[in-house]
Amino acid sequence: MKFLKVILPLLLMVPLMANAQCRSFTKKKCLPELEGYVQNDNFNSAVLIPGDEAELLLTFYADKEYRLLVCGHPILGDLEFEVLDTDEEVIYSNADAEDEGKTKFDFKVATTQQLIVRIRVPEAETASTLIHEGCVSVMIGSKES
Amino acid sequence: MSARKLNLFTLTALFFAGMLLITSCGEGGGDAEGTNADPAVDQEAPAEIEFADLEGAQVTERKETIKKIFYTIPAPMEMASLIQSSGAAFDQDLLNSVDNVESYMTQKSKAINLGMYGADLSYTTMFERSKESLYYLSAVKQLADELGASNIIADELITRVETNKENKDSLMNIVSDTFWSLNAKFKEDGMEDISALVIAGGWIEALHLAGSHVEGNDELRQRIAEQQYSLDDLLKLIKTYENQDNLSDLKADLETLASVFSEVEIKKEKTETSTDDNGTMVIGGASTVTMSDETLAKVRSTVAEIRSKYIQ
Repeated sequence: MKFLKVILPLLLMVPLMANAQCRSFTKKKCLPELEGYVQNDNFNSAVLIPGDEAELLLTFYADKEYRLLVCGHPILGDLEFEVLDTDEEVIYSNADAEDEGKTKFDFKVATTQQLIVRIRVPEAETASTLIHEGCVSVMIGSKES
Repeated sequence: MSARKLNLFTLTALFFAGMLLITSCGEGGGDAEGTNADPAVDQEAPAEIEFADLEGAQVTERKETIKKIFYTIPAPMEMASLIQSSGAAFDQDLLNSVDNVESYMTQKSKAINLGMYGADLSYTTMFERSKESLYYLSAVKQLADELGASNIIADELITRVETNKENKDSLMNIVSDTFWSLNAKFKEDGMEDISALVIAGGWIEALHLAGSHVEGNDELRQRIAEQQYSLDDLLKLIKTYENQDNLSDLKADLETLASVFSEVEIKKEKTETSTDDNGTMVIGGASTVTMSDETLAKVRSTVAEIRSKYIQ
């Protein structure tokens, strides 16, 4: 009984600590890239594998400057992302960006609107028996224009 | 030492050794350049990140791909910023009194009011009311602690706020970072319904504050009308947790509000992009928002009704 009282609650903590890695990764590796912007309160992070997709729908206010940061663990390779309007027309693709624009996109919106951010984890180039999974975080920061 | 005690001691020691290994690979062992990394990950890692930080990466047996959808809404800090920049004057009477904090007994009321106090904290921060900000941060801390997130708002954070009370930018960052961490903590602990309640509470309070300052303020009127978009996003977020009883009343209330917002007409033309003088992309496309006085009054009264139901 004593064993159960002492060990069981501690064992239950193990998966929580594993999950907390994404929060810790995002805080250490992604958050500094939003310096100068006030980050959105929402935690948009997931553990993804090659071939996975993520999509985020968000409203952006007129006359504000935004930084969109798509931050993934390097083990997943270069993430591909696009920003689309609600008619699914592509406004921006990081495939067309210079190197420094591969992970972040700075923009303003002239009129308040909803935009879709679509992210894709590239397929692994070499076949492997083990698949790597890694944290992917989508972060939004804003500031006055 | 008896065999039974020894057995318990050994198991406990082994457990903590295991925990130490996990944390050294995760939270604390970030910059170990492979020395503390999970051997399985290290073995299979591509050469170019062989020595990179392996925190946040693992191996998995999952092979089927997924599509993860995030629904999110602008932070209350953004609305507080819009209110402040529109020239409105600070009004303490609009806020949910911190004295009410003791009266929230259920998990649901604690979560919604955590969000509401968060919006009030954003508002006091944006108007540089440092004394009030500290009161609201204390209320936020109390509710967060009671919801099981006691490690997010430590006493050091309160000290940091006191130290930075004259620096608005620092305070804004502290508040945003705190709510981001709370949101992450609830999601990671499988309390996604709680995180949705916090977000909804913050949005309702921010809309109440904007509505209270709207008289004679065309800019805020436009921003309130545009909340049709955010309400749409919020409802989508809440509907992802359809099986959560905690959210059913709130969903019904927000749907009532959505029916009022449906009277707002937003006409948007094709999206256009341009570049400003600094080379930053500007996403435009004309949109016209039409909200009658009658609809604005209905939005305000419906928000007031919903808010009073949850702050009591």
